Amino acid sequence: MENINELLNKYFSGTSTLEEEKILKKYFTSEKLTTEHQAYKPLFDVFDLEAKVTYPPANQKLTNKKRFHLRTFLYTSSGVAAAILLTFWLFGSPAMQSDYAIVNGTRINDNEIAQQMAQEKINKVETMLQGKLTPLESLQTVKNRLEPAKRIFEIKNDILDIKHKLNFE
Amino acid sequence: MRMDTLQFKNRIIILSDKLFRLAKSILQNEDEAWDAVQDLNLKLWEKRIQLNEIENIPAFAMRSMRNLCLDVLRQRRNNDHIGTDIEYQELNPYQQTERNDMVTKIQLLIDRLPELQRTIMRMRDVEGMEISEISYITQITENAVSVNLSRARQKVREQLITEHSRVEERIWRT
Repeated sequence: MENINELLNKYFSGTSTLEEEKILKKYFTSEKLTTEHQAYKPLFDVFDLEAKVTYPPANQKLTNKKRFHLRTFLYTSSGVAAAILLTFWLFGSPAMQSDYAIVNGTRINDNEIAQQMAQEKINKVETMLQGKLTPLESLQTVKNRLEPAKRIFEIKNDILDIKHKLNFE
Repeated sequence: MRMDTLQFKNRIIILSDKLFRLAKSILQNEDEAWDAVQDLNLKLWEKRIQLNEIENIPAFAMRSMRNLCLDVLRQRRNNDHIGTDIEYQELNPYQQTERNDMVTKIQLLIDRLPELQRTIMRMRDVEGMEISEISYITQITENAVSVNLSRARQKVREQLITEHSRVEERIWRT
């Protein structure tokens, strides 16, 4: 036990060798500990535990990426839906022969005025949507472009595995 | 001789676990650590011809990994004026009750050490690296490595002892 205390002192003053630290690790991860040493056990358990952490494969990570996709999808789809609804609202159904618009409850039959008003509304919506969607689009493009780059290593590993197997057979 | 894919796999990809643990300790974020390992792999692949001239590839990869992570930390600080790299500090009562498990508590203690100290402590105690290797990776002298290592271990010890006697006291009182 005196030996362990001596090693502990060396350990905490940063002067122990790797060999001595191995002895400590072995001692503290075993079950036979004196009461005075109990306090240090969790420390060595942490080292043992952390050494087992492995590099997670691609499919096990990035939960926020999925959330990102969903959010983009919702933004884009609501934008598109709004645009479609607006088109029908302004032009009526495509089956109708003439263009008209209803402004504040009154129907405007004059084709030119209706079209002009509709065009104005569409332009307005378009600029609004563009302003809101552009950053999302560019984010998505960047993500998409990066995607193949991240795959390179998975693919490479797969190819290597295949090559390996071919060589063995 | 050029490093081919098989050699690259056997010499670099094989280090992924170690590199990931280092990145995770520095960045304190698993997703960012994952990305950092991927970035490093790409960079090393591009420089695979030069890699043949390097004597100790694992140490070189660890050094590059740390430098890349430090760049990420620097960028993070520039983007966000409130530093996300938490330095050493006392736990508040809320955190204490929340993280009642000793092992998690100690991990948190190590995470709260300054970056250099926690990196050195983990490279030594988790990865079992020689002081000379750590000195090469962190680009400081061997003496400075030992000083930082002992400071880190001392700080953890102090908190560990306080924590332990607090828990003991509670057990005896009930």
